[in-house]
Amino acid sequence: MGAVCAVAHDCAALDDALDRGVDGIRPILRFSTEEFLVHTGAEVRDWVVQPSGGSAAWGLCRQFALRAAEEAASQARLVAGPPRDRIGLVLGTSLGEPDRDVHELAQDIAQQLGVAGPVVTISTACSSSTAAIGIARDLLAMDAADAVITGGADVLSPEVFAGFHALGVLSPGKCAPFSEPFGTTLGEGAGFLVLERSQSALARDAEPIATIAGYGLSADAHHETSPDPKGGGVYRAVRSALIDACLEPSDIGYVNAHGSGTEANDPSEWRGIQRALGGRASVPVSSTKGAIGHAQGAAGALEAIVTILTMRRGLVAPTLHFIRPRRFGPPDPVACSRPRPAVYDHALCLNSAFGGSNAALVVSRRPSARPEPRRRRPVEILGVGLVGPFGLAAGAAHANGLRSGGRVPPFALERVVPRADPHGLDPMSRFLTAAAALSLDDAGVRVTGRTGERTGLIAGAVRPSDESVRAFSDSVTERGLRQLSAHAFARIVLNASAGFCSKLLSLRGPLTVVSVGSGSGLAAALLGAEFLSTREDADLIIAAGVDELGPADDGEEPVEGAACLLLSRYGFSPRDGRRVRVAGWSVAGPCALDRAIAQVRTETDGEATAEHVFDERDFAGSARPAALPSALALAAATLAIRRGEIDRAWVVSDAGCSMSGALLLTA
Amino acid sequence: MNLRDGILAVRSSAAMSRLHHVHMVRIRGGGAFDAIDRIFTRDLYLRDGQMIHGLLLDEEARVFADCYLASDDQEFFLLGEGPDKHELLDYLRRHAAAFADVEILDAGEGHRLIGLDGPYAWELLARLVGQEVVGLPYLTFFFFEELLCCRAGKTGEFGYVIIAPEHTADDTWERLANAGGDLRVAEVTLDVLDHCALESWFFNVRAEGRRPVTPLELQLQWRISRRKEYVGSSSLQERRKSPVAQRLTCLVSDSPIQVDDVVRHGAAVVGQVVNAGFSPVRDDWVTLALLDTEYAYPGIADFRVGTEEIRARSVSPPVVNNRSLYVNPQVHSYATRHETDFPALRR
Amino acid sequence: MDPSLRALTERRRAMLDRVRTMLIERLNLSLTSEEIDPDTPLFGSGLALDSIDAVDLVIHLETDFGIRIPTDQAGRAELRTVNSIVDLALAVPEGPPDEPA
Repeated sequence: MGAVCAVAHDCAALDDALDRGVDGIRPILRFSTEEFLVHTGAEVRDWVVQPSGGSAAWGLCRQFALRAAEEAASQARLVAGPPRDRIGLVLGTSLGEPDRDVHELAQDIAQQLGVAGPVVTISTACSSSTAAIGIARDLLAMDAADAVITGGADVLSPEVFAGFHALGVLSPGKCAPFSEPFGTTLGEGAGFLVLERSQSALARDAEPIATIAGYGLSADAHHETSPDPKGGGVYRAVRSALIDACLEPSDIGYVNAHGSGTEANDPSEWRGIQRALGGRASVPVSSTKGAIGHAQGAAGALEAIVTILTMRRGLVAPTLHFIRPRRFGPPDPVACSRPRPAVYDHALCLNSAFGGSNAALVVSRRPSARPEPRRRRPVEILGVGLVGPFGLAAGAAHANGLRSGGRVPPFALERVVPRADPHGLDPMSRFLTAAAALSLDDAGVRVTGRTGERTGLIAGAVRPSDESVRAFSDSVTERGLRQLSAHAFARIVLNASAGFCSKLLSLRGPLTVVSVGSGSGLAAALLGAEFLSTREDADLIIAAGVDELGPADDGEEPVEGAACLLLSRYGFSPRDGRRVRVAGWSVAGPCALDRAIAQVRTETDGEATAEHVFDERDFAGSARPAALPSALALAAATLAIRRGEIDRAWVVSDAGCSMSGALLLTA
Repeated sequence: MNLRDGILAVRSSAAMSRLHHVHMVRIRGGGAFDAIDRIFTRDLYLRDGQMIHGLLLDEEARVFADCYLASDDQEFFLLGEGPDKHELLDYLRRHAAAFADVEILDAGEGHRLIGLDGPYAWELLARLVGQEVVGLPYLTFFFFEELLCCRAGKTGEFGYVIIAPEHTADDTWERLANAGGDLRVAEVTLDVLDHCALESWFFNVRAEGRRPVTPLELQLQWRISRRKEYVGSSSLQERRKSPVAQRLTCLVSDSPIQVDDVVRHGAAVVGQVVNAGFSPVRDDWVTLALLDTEYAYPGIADFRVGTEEIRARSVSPPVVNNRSLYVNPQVHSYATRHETDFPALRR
Repeated sequence: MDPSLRALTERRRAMLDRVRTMLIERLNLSLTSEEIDPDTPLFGSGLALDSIDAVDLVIHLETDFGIRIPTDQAGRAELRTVNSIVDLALAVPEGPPDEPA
């Protein structure tokens, strides 16, 4: 493990800081907070700025990430571990390195560490690294890598500070989760873990520190920045994680909550935890944010590390600054300044985010009893929904129309989603929502109450909405940080459009946003197929690729819009019609496409019938990284099989520097 | 309980009421969405578990009913007041006749509606249905055992409509009444709710709603869609071609004012009173009048009302500083209410 | 109608138009000015602005009208309807920033 945060630059120092009961919340020094009403944050202090080693203009976020990842890799003795192309990296970040696409950070860290396996970025604001750790576990289970470095990083920038300040959620003092005063304190840093399969680790005498026994994802489908007050999303994420870990609520001995301290989060999170754990009031529930602040995308990883450090030593981490309990909160918030003795085998780590994206991890002291390798059930594609330069299209679309670039012509979202109030949505949200609705219609699936809870969305994206980003920066330029647009701030995170889509369509199942640069759409489908194939908590997942062009993108012919594929577990087919089977899927490092294809061949032992290859590059109009082309390729292949033109198709992507992916479709 | 005490209970603690004047209708079937979309005045931007507050109009665009429409999984239900139950069902069936696969069902048969309003209404209801109600957003609903609890009210305070099956209705009422002892929960009648609606600028279908005017005069444009067709929309479109001649305006006065009193300014007759009541919170008279648009502005001090030429001035409603704006269920409770310096109720 | 009353209502109407324009442009409302009745509620019902809208609204009240609302609950309670904003705007002593002298 490796950690950089407000109280430590490595895990040993973090452990020590926990023992001493110190917090890293102090007046912010890096930028002026004079015009604001709050002046405190949990900045990483006394950081010696490292030379960038060749590539210019990398800032603190990357430095934090590199340091923590190096510490983790070193502790895991990765140099003596699996070959480089069998080591992957899954990084969670909210905004990454300023002025760069979020996926570039992970690519750079991978390069610096000599990691040549698959590199994936998960960007769902404050739940990013929690989800990242879960997905890293999936990469191992898929045999896409033998070890995965996973975690998260984010920096406390003036814009983020101003945004949270505008929303009125910053504490005037020090963040006091489950207590008073209300409010959170922003932090920063990076946390990484190295995950390996237990047999592989034991085989090379690497001693396991803990086990990631399971994870769960869910969507609130409620509001851009406020959580579902009933705690429904947290409840579903925890239930899913427990099912994934093959554990009962009574097995959980400690909960490390998101506990941001805001007025809205803590009571609703507690409600969700309480429901999920069967009303067991006695479980200790604490939040680390009083000590290290709210480290945004890095929070999940850092808090998981704190959980592991304390669990190993027979302790539970405390909640700092607890004066008196709020009306609705855990009866045992571990209200002390130092870790308290407790022996338990399993802990829950939770995080919630803007856009309603929740993630839960089950961390265990010992290897889990869960059978490996996992049973894989077949997955099918039931529906296709497309929004592009060709307008709106669904199952009847012709594959050739999907290869041209250009902008999406104006369309009325109400035609596709009659119940969605279309006003105020940015283009990216409109594209994604419309395409998702079209894919559901194409499959004849209606999402209501119960189905909605088991229907998820995994969106592949590279950049947030250009319109929203410009609205945000314009508001800063025109009115200054103190009076920036709160609306626009909520939309500059990569998962904003997925959050809107899930809300408008009432999709309450797993929700995440993945970025690998080019190929992100296919990456979403690969993760979605793996999810449905091996888990019990979702029946349907909409896998999407979505891009929005800015005004400057008119030089080449890139394409904008969204392509959604409705994936389903085998057996969940509400209507007859030519279903397309996802026969196999695989992920490998960059420039290792043949390896991925070979793995699928082995698993599917298919006959040598004529095969058609749908390559992402044929659908991309420019060299700039884009998420949509790979999803269009998948859509085109699906449609061709549906129409009986072909029987089998490969959909492949190896356009970026992150990962190669291959998916085999059959009739 | 008299009117004054009832109003004060709504404004300071919690009050229960039997909502005989509200009728519940269930609408289901594959054609339900399209049918309702063509009848109900608002755009149906609503998800499962949500409610929307709108109107039903006649073909001349006058108000027929004041309704909440709710989306409940595959169905809708409507809570309407204004017409009696049969008139409401008849209206809906008549207008839905053009659509296939629509069932309009009287849900009042077998259910009774209980209202709960007040700055601490949430506290009382939570004792019955659990803490979940505390976080319930406005215009949403949830099920607790056999009870359907909606957050909706017209008093400007925290308000809930509890829909109970007939066989548990009496028991539910009793349990609420018993649980609310320390909250001094009051049992109030419709006149109390109507007065609180008047003070808090909530449309009253039985008062101003009975006048031959449209939502344009009633300042209810927020309750009608501009983009779709529905019963009365073509009349409204016609009306919009010329400027509105009258607008509903709020007046206050120190002396009694009656409904139908004529309103004058100087020598001119400028309108008529359509709703009036004495406010014990403000210690003056609150009225609503339909005034000629050139006089329909707040801040005019010298209207003369009725044969006695009572002096009245126009104001921006609502005219009370609802305590519920300041009560935070995360922090406050009835028992500790004196520990907080709440602003005065009078605006 | 007497001239002083006419002046009062004119002033009121002009400010109402400015406030409605601000709401439409700044809060991205899909309505025209005439569609926003003067006593339309802002929160809960009426325009049904949410918590994020409230933040942006308070900012624009200050930048466009010189109205300062305290950030606590008491401040929020001043903002009930469109007319309540007009009341506040007319009460600002120096007059709103871009009103002609």
